[in-house]
Order: sequence, then C-alpha cells, then structure tokens
Amino acid sequence: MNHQPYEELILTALQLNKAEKQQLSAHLASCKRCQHLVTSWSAVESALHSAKSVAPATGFVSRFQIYQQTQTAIAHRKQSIQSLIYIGIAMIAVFVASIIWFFLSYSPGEIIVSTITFFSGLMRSFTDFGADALMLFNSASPSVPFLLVINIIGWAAIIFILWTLTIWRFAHQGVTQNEQ
Amino acid sequence: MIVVAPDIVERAQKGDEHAYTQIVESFQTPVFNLCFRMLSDAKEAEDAAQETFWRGYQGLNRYDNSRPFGTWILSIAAHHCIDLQRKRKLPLADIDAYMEETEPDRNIPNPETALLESESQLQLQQMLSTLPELDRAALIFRYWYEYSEEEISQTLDISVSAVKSRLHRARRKMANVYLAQNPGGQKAERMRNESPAL
Repeated sequence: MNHQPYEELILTALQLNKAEKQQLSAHLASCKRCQHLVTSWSAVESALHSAKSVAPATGFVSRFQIYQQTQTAIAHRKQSIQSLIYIGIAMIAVFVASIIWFFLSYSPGEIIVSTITFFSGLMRSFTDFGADALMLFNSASPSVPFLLVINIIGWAAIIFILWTLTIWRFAHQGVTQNEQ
Repeated sequence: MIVVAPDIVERAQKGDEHAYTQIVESFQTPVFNLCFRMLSDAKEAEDAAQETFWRGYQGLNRYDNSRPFGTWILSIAAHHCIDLQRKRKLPLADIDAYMEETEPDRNIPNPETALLESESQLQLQQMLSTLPELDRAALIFRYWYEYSEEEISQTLDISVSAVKSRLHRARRKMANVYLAQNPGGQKAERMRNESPAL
C-alpha cells in the first residue's frame, strides 16, 4: 500500500478540505501504520505548540559586554600582527628584489672589488676620524674640560630636582588617577 | 516578534555601543532560545548567543535596514549553530544544567508542573536533537518563531521547496521518534490529542 499521500495529509500544516478528510478517514480505518503516525504527530505537535522560549541566565548583557571587550582586544591584536606580517613581507620582498637587481647588474668580480673598496674606505674613515678628534682635543682651549664638567653637574642637578618634586607629589597627593 | 526602533539600529551602525547593548537586551531571549534548541546545551547556547551578537556587531554595516533586524540576527545565530553542529557531535540535553543555567520565559506555577514541563521539554529537546541541522533549524523557526516558509527560506538561504520538504521530513522523523519512545501510550495519546488534520 502506498502511504505517502496519506502521510502528507497527516503531516501538513494546512487545514484539510472535506474530500481530503474523508479520504484520510477511510484510509485510517484500515491502516494501523498511519493511525500510529496520526497519534504520535498529534502528541509531538502539541508539545511543539506548548514549548516555551528559554531565556539566558540573568546578566547575559553584562557577560556579552565583557565578551565584546575581549573580542575587540583580540581583533586589535590580530590586526596589529597582520600589519606587522604585511610590513615584514613587503620589506623581505624589497630586499630580495634589491639582491636580485644587484646580482643581475654587477658581475661577481665587480662585487668583490666593490666590497673590498667599501670596507677599506670604512677603515680609513674610522682611523682619520680618531686622528681628527685627538687633534681637536689637543688644540682646544684649557677651559673646555672645566666647562664640560660644569655642564654635566648642571644637568644632574636639574634631573635631581625633578625627581625630588615627583617623589614629593606622589607622597602628598597619592596616585589619585589610578584609584579613580 | 520583537521589533527594534530603526534609530537604535542606525545609532548602533554609527558605533554607539549603548544602542547595541539595547539591541542585545531586546534579542537575548530569541537568540538564546534558538541556540539552545539547536545545540541542546545551556553553556554552549550561551557561548553561541554571545558569538552571534559579536558577529552581528562586527557586521552591522552589512545589515540591510529594509529587512527586520530580528530575522537578520536569528539568521546569523542559525548559521553559527549549524556550523558548530557540523564541527562536532553533540551530547544529549542535560536536564540539571537546563534547570540550573536557564530561566523559563514565564513563571512556573508549582514544582510538580515544573517537573512535568521540564521532562516534556527534555523529551522534546531529545527528539529535536535527532534531526539533521537544517531540518531542526526549519522546525524551530516554524514552531517557536512562527515564521512562514518564505521567511524560513530567507533566513536559512534555501529554497521554499527545500523548506517544505525539510519540514515534512522533520515532522515525520519527530513522529517516528516519539512512537519509538512511547510504544504503549499510543491509544491514550490519540484520545487526548486528536490530529488537527482531522
């Protein structure tokens, strides 16, 4: 026996017309399986219609606000990490492009000669700078070391006064901003 | 269905967190209820509801004002719960957790009624959990939110004919599960609950 048309009539959410009702009643009189379906679906439908909405435990909104703050912080951190990754990738790409360009533009011999020239120039500059500094110190006025010491003592005194003032402020006023 | 004033949504879209808090306050029960019916666990439903509101907050600029806000946020909740269900096998409803962690929507008259109600709710929840995710979502929208087939199709992004066939399949499955769970009580039940079709 084909039960499908009757199942559809039983399980439909629509109201049946007179002919459909008669057709279904005639079938139900002789079909145990569809009788069971009617019984069980009636009970289930009744339970579905009487089911209540379930509310969350008290304080859901406050819990959501905490969740929102946490998720916002995570999103910001993720964004910062992403930005750093993009910057890093861009820098690596530029570096790699420069290396490729460099090796395509110059022969290995030229690169070796340029490297040796660069480092020897660097060493010579360093030696010259040391000699120039020594010459400047020797030719300076005898009052220069004295002025240097005065300058250092002056800055130390300013820093000491600032530090004392800060300690005094915290001792007398407390850390009110943090307490608020 | 709860309706939220358009100016509140507009304010929330402009970044007013207070306005969004008002929205959360208004929709906390419908969203939580959907998550609970889908996931059968109060703790997971709470997490899913919070994630739904967070996703809603992030996607407020994509919200189309011509559409009811409730439909939009429930659509997010339904898709999130369907994804969660697909990712893991769900445990059956825990009645103690249900009683402790959730509050019923209206006052319960006495403890005996409360017990009977919670038992029948648990049975209903167990029957719901036997359904595939989309069938369950369609059934929940139909019976708890009284959505039409068109509204369900828009909310779940499936065709109207798919909604019809899923609802039919879900009803038959629920009836069969009920029959398997209550083999002795068919005659008595039939006398108490005559089919609306007849």
